[in-house]
Amino acid sequence: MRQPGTKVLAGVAVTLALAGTVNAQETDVTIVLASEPVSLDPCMTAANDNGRVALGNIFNGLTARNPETGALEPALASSWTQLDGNKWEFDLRDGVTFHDGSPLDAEAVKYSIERTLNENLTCETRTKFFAGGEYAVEAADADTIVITTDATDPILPLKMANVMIHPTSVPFDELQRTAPGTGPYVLDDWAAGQRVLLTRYDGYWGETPEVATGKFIWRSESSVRAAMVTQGEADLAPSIAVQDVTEEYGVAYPNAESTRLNLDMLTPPLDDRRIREAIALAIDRDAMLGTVMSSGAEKATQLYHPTTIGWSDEVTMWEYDPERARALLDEAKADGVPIDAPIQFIGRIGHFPGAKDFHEVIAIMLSDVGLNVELEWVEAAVKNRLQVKPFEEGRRAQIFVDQHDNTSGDPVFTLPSRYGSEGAQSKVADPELDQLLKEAAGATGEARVDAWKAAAAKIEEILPDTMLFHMVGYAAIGDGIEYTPTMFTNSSVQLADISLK
Amino acid sequence: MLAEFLFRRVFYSCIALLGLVVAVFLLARLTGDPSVLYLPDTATAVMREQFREAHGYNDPIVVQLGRYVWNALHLDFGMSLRQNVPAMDAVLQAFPWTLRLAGVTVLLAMIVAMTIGPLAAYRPGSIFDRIASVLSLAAASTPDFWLAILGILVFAVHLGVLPTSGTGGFAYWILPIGVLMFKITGTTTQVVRGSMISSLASPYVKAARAKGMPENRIIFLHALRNSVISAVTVAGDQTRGLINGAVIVESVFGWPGVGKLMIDAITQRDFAVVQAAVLVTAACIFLLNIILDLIYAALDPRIDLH
Amino acid sequence: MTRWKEFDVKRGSSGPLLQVQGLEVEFRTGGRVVHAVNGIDIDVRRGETVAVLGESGSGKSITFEAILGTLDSPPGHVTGGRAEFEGQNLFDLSPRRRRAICGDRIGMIFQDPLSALNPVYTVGWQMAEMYRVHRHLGRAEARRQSMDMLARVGIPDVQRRIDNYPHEFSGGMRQRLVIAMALAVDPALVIADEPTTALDVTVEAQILALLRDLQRERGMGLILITHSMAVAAEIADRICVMYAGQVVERGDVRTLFGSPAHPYTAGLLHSLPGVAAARHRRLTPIPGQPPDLAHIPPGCPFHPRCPRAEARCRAEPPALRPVGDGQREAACHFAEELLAAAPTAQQDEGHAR
Repeated sequence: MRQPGTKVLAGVAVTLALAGTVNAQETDVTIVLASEPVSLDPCMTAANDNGRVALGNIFNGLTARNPETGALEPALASSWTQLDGNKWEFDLRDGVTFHDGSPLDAEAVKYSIERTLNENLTCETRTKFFAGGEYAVEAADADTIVITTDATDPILPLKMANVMIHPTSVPFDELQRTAPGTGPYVLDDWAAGQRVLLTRYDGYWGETPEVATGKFIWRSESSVRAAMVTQGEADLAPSIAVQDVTEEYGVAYPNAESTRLNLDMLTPPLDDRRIREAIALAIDRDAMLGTVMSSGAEKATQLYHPTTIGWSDEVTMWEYDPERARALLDEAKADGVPIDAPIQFIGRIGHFPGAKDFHEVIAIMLSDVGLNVELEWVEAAVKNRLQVKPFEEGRRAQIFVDQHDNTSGDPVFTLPSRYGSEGAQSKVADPELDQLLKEAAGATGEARVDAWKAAAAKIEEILPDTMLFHMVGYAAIGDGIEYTPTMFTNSSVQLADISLK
Repeated sequence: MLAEFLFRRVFYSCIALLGLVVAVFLLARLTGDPSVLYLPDTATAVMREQFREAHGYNDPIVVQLGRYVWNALHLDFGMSLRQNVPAMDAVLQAFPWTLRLAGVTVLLAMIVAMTIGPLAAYRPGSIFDRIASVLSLAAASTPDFWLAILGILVFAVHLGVLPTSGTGGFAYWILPIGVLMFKITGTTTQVVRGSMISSLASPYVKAARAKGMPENRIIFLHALRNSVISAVTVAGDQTRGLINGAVIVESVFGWPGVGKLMIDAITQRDFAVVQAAVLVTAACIFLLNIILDLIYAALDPRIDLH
Repeated sequence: MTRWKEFDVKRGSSGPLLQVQGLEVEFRTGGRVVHAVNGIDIDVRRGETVAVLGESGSGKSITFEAILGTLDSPPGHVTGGRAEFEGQNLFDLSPRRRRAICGDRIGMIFQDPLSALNPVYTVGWQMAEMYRVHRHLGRAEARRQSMDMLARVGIPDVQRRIDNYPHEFSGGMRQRLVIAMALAVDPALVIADEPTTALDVTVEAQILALLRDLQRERGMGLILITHSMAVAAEIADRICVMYAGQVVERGDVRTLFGSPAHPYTAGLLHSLPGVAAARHRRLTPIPGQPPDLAHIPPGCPFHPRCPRAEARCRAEPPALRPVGDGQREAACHFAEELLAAAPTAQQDEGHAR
């Protein structure tokens, strides 16, 4: 039955093949993502799928990160200065117009910042970068904006790289599908479920990019995304799984994600530091590299990349030592720690490519040194709920396989929420660490670097989690374009960074 | 009589739909606090509280339900939390894609099954029957996902005759429909074969032979007419499944249908979209059931619409 | 209604309409062989009614399925014998030729009329296809003749009911529909397989009367397959008693019922309530079960259940041979003794009436 059927199918297909192939013009680029952006509202760009399409393409912030170095560069603000501890002044670039033709001015910037921080909108940008703190925004004159914070905020310019600027015509209290921006591309068409089409904006303030139109499409399967690039249906797939990488089209890059085991240090037996140290010693990271983990990944000591300011080279890189781990467990057991108590080992379904094997291998390693772990897979929503306060009452001890990306370059977006006593998912309540985190968040320059290093040392002393790897991602890049994926590729794919061959 | 039947069925369907809406509403609320999933993990407790307040999740569940049902009766099915468009718009945009895919798939599958099934059943155990049975069984049990990926690798990557995925001209329909047809054709062929074998062994077929009727008349008029009923039942089941969303096929091929929309909405806890999608698919399935009952009644005079 | 006479004249043969000789049918399933019919001889003449009598499993239905070619094959196979109908051996014909004879020259009436009618077509459609296939009539003419025939078998309000479905008729009416279909194109021979088993007694009498009337009216040969002595006595001219796939006794109905020459026929007669009462005897069912046709006992197949069985019966199979006045045949070593011991038919019938 199948043979004749497929023959007919193939026959029909041959006659239609021409109709089917993508017939892209030379200055058009097709990018295939894993999923559709849910919103292209300027204040929703902090979510990955939204950001890949909108951030830097449709919208700009006052500042921007250099995709290669990560350095902060001027964007819509040509310069900025810290007037005093709590006050920053930004000078706006001249001659910038929005896609709707209206000029960029301080009022629009003030409006954009205030809308992003509007409590009624639950903007991703606010929840991700502006947790806590009060910001008063003033238009000093048409080209100057002054932001006053309630506490010293040395990294305000960095945060402003994430606040997208739009005209005052955008409704203040209502999320939009999208809005006019100042970026090099205008949203031309968004056929829900099918594609987003961006076309070059003639009035762009910066250098005119090579790519005339960018088409964003999405396929959930990595193998399909990779196939689209090899078939020339797409030019770029920013994220594919390692098994779909081909020599010709695949490129590895650090994707800014870092993995750790989040240990439930409030529940026995994980409340004993010796047990947590035993876990750190029980994991053979070297054996995982190149097997369940891409060989391009790097062993981690902290939850952010070494390029992040305040990253400390003094934090211990734990070596595999099962003997020592068992000895620690025996020692703890002798002191009455219930090392046999069951521990829920929680992995998220489909967390990253190959996550299932990754979870299983770690669970086996932990069992091997004598811990009673029970592996359990849950979906994202369940894991998030379990990891965020209020924690479940009367739970068994829990270990979460957790992943975090911090591309901002500053630990303030990582540490307080995880290790500060007020942090939404923190199980640590250490006054000394709280003090260190507070100092670091308020410090600038070298003082800030040292303060983060001190916090890292303190965290190692407490040992609330076990660091695993800085992950790598893979992109498939077609013949027709040149593009270098970086750690920012996960949060923004800027068409202007793409050049044509 | 027909009008009365239709009126009664539509009436009961509406009641069932209302019940379903309430059930889905309550079940969705049981799956947890949307603020946890919706907001990033860096969000503070204050932000979560603001979010719940802004979207009415702090009200008693009965109040939320009452508000939802009241608005729904005014054809307002709420806004998509994620997409900030009316939930019903998002669903109605995706639904025709699924419906077309399902319709064409089932139609083609029925044609194939109704041709191969009777031929296989005519001589059970013959070479043709064995080949047809093994292939249809294999087709019925092939996982969609595997088949979809294989189809892309063979036809798009290796042979390069079809686009990998997406929507567009005729060529874009071939792989998704081919993949979906596989299982349905296999299942339906098996059912048609089985019911044809029992039809062909039934006393009325023996009687028709004794009446001296020619064999093709016996197969295609006497026996097949009776087997069409079971084929329609299977096709109905399969269509129901497809209307519910050919989730895997839609995801793999980037088909903008309701199955993918619903799965995305569920994982994102976008309640309004989930509810609207359930409502629309359920309404469509109720409609399909009524149509199926009418087809049954047309095919089998013993079935009484009462 | 005169056409049958023309056919009759045209054929005009004096010999039997159907003559079955040495028919053997086997069912093969897996390694098991069931000998359903073991060399039977039956003949029917024009205008004659022959009742084939036997318990279920005696092979009586299989015999006629084999003759009509409606045997489920596999597993059923005709392994021997001839069935000569109007001068042709049916087993020599191609399936297509044989199918053409079915319905046209030989009509079949089934036991369960509801299952023999296709549930999804109207009776008019099923009736009309007889005329359309066998007589190549147009739609309208086929319908008109169908109506005539349905009216003839006693379907009331034919105009309206012709478009009804089988399930909308009562049991008796359905049997009339099946009879109408079997007789639609004037067959020379009608085989009725337990035509009244599914019906209650009053309806049974009506149907038998209808069959008898039609048979006389058309002069066709009628084979009535039945397990009921009463039905056989009611309608048959001759009787053919079957046991374990063989004919054990045959002859004229009065002779046979008056003084059975085979213990099995006698046993059947005694198990009949009416006859037993008439003879002031207790109803005595035949002890034991019919034999497993995969393992038919050696010698006389009836010997395990026979009150007269002797050593010879277990060893030597009795042949069907003429006994008594020569008008009947029986397959029993003790047929003569049995006849001599029986009271005469006349006396018994006198009592019965």
